[in-house]
Amino acid sequence: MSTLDALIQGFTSLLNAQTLLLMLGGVCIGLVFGFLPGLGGTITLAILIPFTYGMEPSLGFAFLLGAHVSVVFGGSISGILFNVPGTAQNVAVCFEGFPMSQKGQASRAIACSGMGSLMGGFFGAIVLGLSLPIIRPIIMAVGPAEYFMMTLFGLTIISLLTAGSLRKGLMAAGVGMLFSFVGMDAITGAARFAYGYPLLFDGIDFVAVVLGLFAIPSMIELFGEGGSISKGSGDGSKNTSTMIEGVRDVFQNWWLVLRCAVLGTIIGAIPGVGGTTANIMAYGYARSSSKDPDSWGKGNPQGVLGPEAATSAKEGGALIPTVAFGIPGSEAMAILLGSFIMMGLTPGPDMITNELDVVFSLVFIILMANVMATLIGLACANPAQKLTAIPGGQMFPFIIIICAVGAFATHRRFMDIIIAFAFGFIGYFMKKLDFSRASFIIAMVLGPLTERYFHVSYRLYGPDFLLRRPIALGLFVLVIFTLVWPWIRAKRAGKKMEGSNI
Amino acid sequence: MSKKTMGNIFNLCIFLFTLTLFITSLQYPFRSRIIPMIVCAVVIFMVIWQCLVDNVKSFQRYAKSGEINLFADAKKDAKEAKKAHLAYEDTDKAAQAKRVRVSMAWLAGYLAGMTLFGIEVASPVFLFLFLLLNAKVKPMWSLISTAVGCGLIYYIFVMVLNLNLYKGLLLGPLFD
Repeated sequence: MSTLDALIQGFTSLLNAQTLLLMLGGVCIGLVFGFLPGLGGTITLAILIPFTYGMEPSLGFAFLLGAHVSVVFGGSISGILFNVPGTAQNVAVCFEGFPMSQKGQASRAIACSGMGSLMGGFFGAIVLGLSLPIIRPIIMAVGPAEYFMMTLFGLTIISLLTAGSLRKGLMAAGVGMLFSFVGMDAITGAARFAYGYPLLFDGIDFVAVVLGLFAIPSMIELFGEGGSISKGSGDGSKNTSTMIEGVRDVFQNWWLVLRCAVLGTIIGAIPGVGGTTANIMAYGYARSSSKDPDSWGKGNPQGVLGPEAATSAKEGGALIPTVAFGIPGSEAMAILLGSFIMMGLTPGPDMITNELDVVFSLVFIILMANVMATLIGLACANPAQKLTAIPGGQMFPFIIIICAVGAFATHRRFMDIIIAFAFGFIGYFMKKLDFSRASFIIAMVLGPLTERYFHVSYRLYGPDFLLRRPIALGLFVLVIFTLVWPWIRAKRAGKKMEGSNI
Repeated sequence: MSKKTMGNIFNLCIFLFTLTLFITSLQYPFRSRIIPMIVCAVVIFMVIWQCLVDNVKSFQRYAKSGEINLFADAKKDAKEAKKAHLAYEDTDKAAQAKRVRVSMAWLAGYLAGMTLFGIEVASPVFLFLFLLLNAKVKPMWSLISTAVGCGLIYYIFVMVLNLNLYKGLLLGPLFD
């Protein structure tokens, strides 16, 4: 079968009412599961897999991928409206999306998120389709040393997010990294900082920390200040215009969307790095490249559309190693890999050779599911904006209960609720005292990866691993440049870096 | 409490936390302790530096000169601390601070309720009482909101997702 035949066959296999209805069902389930904190893409796929027993591959994947693709957008909606990120991959959307809601621009933010997600998803899917025949040598050229430098590059974002105080940003990042070290060390197997408490052997749950650091402080603050999230400006009178503004924002910033989508696809293709990293790195990149640094942290649409494009593009990128080599890039991809096998497919070079039509159908499913999710999201944007006009006193207990149940749902441990509440209090004081919570989260995500890739690189290539790996050396130069560039730019402009700490 | 005092207490907490982890790290194998120890050392250094900038005037002056970039924000911090201190004396701000304390007390109470009686019992009680006493919602509407809100959460998480919610220390043994 030629590539063109496979492409046409992959597309036509989806053009029937049953497949499209299943995909729509998957998208709706994904949006709801994404909206509810604690139920990320992994849980969604795990729950939906039993329903695909006996299905044709195109039907099963339409259902599963439809749900998986739309989970992230669903999570962004709750992040934008209530500062409660539905999944860990939506953290960065809260940084600008929630301030937009506070300004009465929730529907604009949702439109930015939806369209950014759509564009990113399109890009990721196209890259997946085009890259499969040629990706092998590229992936094989990148090893632990390069991954280490990429994670280090991610950590440099901290310097960009701590506009107020670099010292406090580094302190927050350091403490975040220390929290990420709690649990079994992947290299030596030592139980670090668990103090003999078995529940800590698995580490501290990231979802609980995110819910605590962002959702609970914003609810405490909202109740303290009185009024509603949108402070009376989210009454819906200008909803249509702001939604169209959101769509326009994405097209006006197409270059940023494209760059963030490239970033997301690359990060997605790296096994084990994940969507949270893509989301946060895209935010840092968008912020560092902005011509209007003062508006960041106060509701800049670029801070919504950039990370959304990256997170959505990551799905296409993550499917590259999963399909091409049978190496899952994330937990969700591991479950999807299981579903491939369940449906009688063997991911790897054989799949690209013998089942190319199925591979192309995956590309089209991502494209179509993104369109469906965006249309549903845009349709819901105006009614959703009205939720931000609910008085804080009435909103507070509902959000707190959802946070508690969401924190519990991930691992079904009561300890995670305690962690979420503890981080809620810590997050409140961090916000009051201008400690960057974003730096904390970035370091918590990237800390263990940096440590693991450092040890593996050291073991494989010795202490001079940077000199032995030219790509890693190039990335190291990029890291140094990223660290130095904001100060050079600030010096040139003759002023200090501005913007708000998040 | 002024922002400066709050900052000092927070810094002290970070210092003690990091020092504890640093000392604990010493017992781990070399490869498990090296990165955490470096991170601990950096954080401890930053905390001490921050405390000096916040509390020692000569450091603040040194910071103001901007000779070292890490000190560059000291002027802004000092201004903010003063502003925040003045703001706290404002009546409206005092009322806000009181509401913040009240919300924290409710959170602590809800957590204690969940620990003792479980999520299924503590959540409706918390929701109903909070709506009734703090949000000033009428009793009937509070009851309806509680039934609908908790019913929806129960339906999605327990009935659809088959999540076995935590039953609490007191009620848990009854379900075992």
